[in-house]
Amino acid sequence: MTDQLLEAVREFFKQRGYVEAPRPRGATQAASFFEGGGVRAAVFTVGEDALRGRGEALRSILAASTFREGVDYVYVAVPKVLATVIDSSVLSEQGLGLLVVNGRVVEAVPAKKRAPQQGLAELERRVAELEAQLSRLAKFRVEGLSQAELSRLGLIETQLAELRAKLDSAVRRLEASIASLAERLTRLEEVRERVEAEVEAAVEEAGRAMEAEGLPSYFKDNPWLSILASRGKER
Amino acid sequence: MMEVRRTRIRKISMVIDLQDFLSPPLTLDDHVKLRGATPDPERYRVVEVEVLVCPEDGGVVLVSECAKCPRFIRRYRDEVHCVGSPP
Repeated sequence: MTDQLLEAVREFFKQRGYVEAPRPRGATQAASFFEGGGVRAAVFTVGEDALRGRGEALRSILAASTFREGVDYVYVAVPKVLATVIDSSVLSEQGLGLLVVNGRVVEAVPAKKRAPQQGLAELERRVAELEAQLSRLAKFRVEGLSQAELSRLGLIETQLAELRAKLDSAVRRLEASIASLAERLTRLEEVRERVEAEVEAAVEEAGRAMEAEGLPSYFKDNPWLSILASRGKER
Repeated sequence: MMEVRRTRIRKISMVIDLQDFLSPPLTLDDHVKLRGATPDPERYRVVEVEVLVCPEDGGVVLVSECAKCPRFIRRYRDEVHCVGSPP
């Protein structure tokens, strides 16, 4: 019975321009595969034997529901008597199609197109592709440059290293100069403060002398007197 | 475009008396009303029967009998879908 069912399914897909495709690695024996126009379909058949044991139909439908290895459409093909028992809304919700077979095939529920998941085989293929690309790139890196270009590259690297060493040395010298200048600046600041203090003391002493004896002749019209006096106030 | 006829399926839970085959089978509800209890599994079996009224001839048929009809398309939730003229 299952053979007749399968034959009818083959005829159904053949009429739609599909040809039977080889079974992918790891796919269940219960499924048949068809391809045409860049589209792949998987068909899980459930024979009338499933009427004797309830688990049989359920097993096939669950397998169909979880199957995603590189196919666009998944169908469940059942004999007509079984179609009266199976609620096709469940298949429809899962995106599965239902083919009712009774000598000829009726597409009772059309399958929804599913995005094929990347199975292990697909991932392995992509990794192999990437490895091949990497190998080509490595080969190009070694073979793509001439001997003259390689020696020039080495010369450039040497020059770059020398420049880097010189730059480091210059930076170190600059840092030392800056430290020395900062130290000198501090010392000058101290000297300036000491001189200002001495000038202030001299001015005060001169002021006291003027008060006692009147202004000496060199204090008359001297602009420095007011400047020195104001500096003392600022501090 | 084919016209699809949707016929509701009626599910009947029928209680069969294993000790008295002459007693009429009752629905589960009727049995509970009459006996005041759910059927004792030692004596009764509950069988679920799915029937519908065929839109073609108005007869009551089991859903599984639809498999013999060329108009049958599919069973969808609690309905049977069939077409007016065989596909």
